[in-house]
Amino acid sequence: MFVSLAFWSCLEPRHARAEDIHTESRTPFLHNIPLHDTQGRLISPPPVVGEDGKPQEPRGNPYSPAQTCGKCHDYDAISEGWHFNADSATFPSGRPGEPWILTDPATRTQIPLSYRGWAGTFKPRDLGLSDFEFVTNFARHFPGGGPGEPGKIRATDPQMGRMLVTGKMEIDCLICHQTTGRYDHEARFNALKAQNFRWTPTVAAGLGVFASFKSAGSIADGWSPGKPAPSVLPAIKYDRARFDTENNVLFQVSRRAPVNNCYYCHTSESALGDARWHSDLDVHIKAGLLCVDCHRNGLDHAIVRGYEGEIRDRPISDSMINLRMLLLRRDDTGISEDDARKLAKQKLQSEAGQVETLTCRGCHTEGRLGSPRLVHKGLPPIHLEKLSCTACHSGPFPQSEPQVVHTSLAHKLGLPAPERGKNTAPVILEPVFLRGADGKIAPFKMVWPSYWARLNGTNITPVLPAEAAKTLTLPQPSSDDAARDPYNTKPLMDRQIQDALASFPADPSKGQPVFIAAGKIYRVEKGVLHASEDPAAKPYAWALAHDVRPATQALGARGCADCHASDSPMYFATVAARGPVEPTNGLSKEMWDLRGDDKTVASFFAFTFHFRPLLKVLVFAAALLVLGVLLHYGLRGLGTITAPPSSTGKGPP
Amino acid sequence: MTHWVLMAHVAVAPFFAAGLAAVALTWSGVCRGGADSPLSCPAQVLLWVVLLCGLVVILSGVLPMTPLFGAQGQHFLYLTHRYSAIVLTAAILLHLPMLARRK
Repeated sequence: MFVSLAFWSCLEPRHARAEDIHTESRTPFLHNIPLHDTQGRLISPPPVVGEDGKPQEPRGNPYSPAQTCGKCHDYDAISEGWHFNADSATFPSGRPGEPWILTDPATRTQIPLSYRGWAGTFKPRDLGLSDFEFVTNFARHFPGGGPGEPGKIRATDPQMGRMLVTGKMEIDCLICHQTTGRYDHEARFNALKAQNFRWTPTVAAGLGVFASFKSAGSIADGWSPGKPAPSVLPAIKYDRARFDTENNVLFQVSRRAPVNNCYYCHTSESALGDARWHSDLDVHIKAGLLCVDCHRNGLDHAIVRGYEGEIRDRPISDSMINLRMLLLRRDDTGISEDDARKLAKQKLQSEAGQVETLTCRGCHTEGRLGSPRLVHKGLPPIHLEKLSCTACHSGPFPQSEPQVVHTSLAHKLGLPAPERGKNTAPVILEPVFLRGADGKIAPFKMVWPSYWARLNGTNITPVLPAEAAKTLTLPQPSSDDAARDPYNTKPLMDRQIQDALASFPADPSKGQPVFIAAGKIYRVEKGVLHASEDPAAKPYAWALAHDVRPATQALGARGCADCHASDSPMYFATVAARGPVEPTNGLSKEMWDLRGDDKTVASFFAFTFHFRPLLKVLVFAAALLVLGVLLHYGLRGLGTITAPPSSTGKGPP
Repeated sequence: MTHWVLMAHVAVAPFFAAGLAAVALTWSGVCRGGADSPLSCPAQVLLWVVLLCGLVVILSGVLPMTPLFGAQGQHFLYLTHRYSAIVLTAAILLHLPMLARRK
């Protein structure tokens, strides 16, 4: 029989504190441990044969990472980590990073989203996208926690209330920490599509399968809070072979997450399609390092992001202060709570200073992990003041135009789908050389928002894809086109944009219908479609740091002309805004323009490099002459001083 | 120093270097320390200081353009360029009034 699912446990706000048991050895602990469900109850498959002599299926509740891993690892502290804290106002947003991009090829929508409020992104709630909708859109690469695991579920909330049936999306520790390579992302994706949030970690880890596949999402559709709890929910049929005689399950996990686990969410590839084999991968990975050798974290999972000045963006969480306080007070019983808190904070802040030694500059200055020290022969020091390390060393070698790049988060990499191409939305370009917040030139990835919206004064309100699909007249691809081009990459013609804008439900009080795409805003005025540059259509850019190229392939390794030439990509590459419109209709700018540099200065400076060899010859020749004169008279003078006195002199013989 | 100022600075460099070489060739004989020199002893000494600092300025300016020095060496050359240029300027400023008071 089905084990009854105590979904009301979702109402429990916090998890039990982890037991104070640690091995503290560099030898990994053998995680042969019992499984617990969301209520903390032990999961033990029933005997193979029941009391009635009939075979029994090993059915049970899904395991809960929070209750299972959280027995020893403080789940609350972990849930404040960088991967899980985006929706928390407590934590600084830090340097803008890769956004989630709400992409819908049918309505030509691509909207950068982030709970962190990075400039150029929308907060999901500001768009009218609930946490639940956000999770269902991005669960495929979302590790759980944060908006997927609200502290308290409001049963009256029609969206979030569904979690009383689907379960919360707990942090799935195994996504990052399993080392078997047997974590099944596709099974996880399929389970998440059915909104089987509570069951997903179990199925993805291969601990069991759905006893008979049911969609918690569908069940939630026919259920509303206040009604009796659904009695038939998905159940897990466990793999008996995974349990030992004491009902323990072996988890092959590592604190140091393997590279391939990181790649599931952090693959970034500009060698598309079959050309992927051309990619050399990151030089650090090739040298045998793991991502987590630099991108480290403690229990708080505050991953070192690795940019200079990050220390300013790293708060010390209360959970970590409390944990350290416990340790301090245990070691020194005489210390007061206030003093222990202050001391704990001081110690944690002092330790946080380590992050600066894990930046490119920090590591290669300190020589950590055997990293080669900075040499930069022939590179005037001003370059180190004006450029980030990544400008010369990261991303694909710049060309006359930035390249299209696919990322896991944007293009659902890691999940099977028809081959993605260079026009598959969202089109992201790299490297685009912009100035970072520190004023240094650095390479960025760039995406241009695209969406239908209403413009009221200066306020722009995007229309979400579902509504756009319902209300707007958009060109529908024929079935042949859909088969040939599953990503609907055919650009919109001006006439089609105009028709779609005309089909907006008439409501002048909500504002003028507009379409944002490829750096421009489209609107119809007096029956004519106008397109113009607009701040609302500005691209969103985030710094790229990988793949790192070796020094021999860095920008400048071939000479000054890599950057200081009349056609050098860093200044003169053309960045054509990409979006669902004719390529020639998008905004197009050169790099110097995007950065706000002076083209005349850049061009003239590049021009002067034609004369640099002559300059060197002239100056060295002059230096030789001066040196010759100095040596000539210097040696003569020396000879005069050291010469023996002449016979007519008065000195000694 | 960046942009136009840097370009002007570099553009002047060959003229400065050529000028210094010309001074070395034409004035060194006068300042070789003989009693017949029209210049006072301090003026003669200052000329050699000018030539020496000028040479250091030239070399510390052009050597960073060669692949011989790494980041630390480059920084050292940069500082050397800066401070030798200051001494050079001071020496020239002291030398000029002395030229006016030739023997």
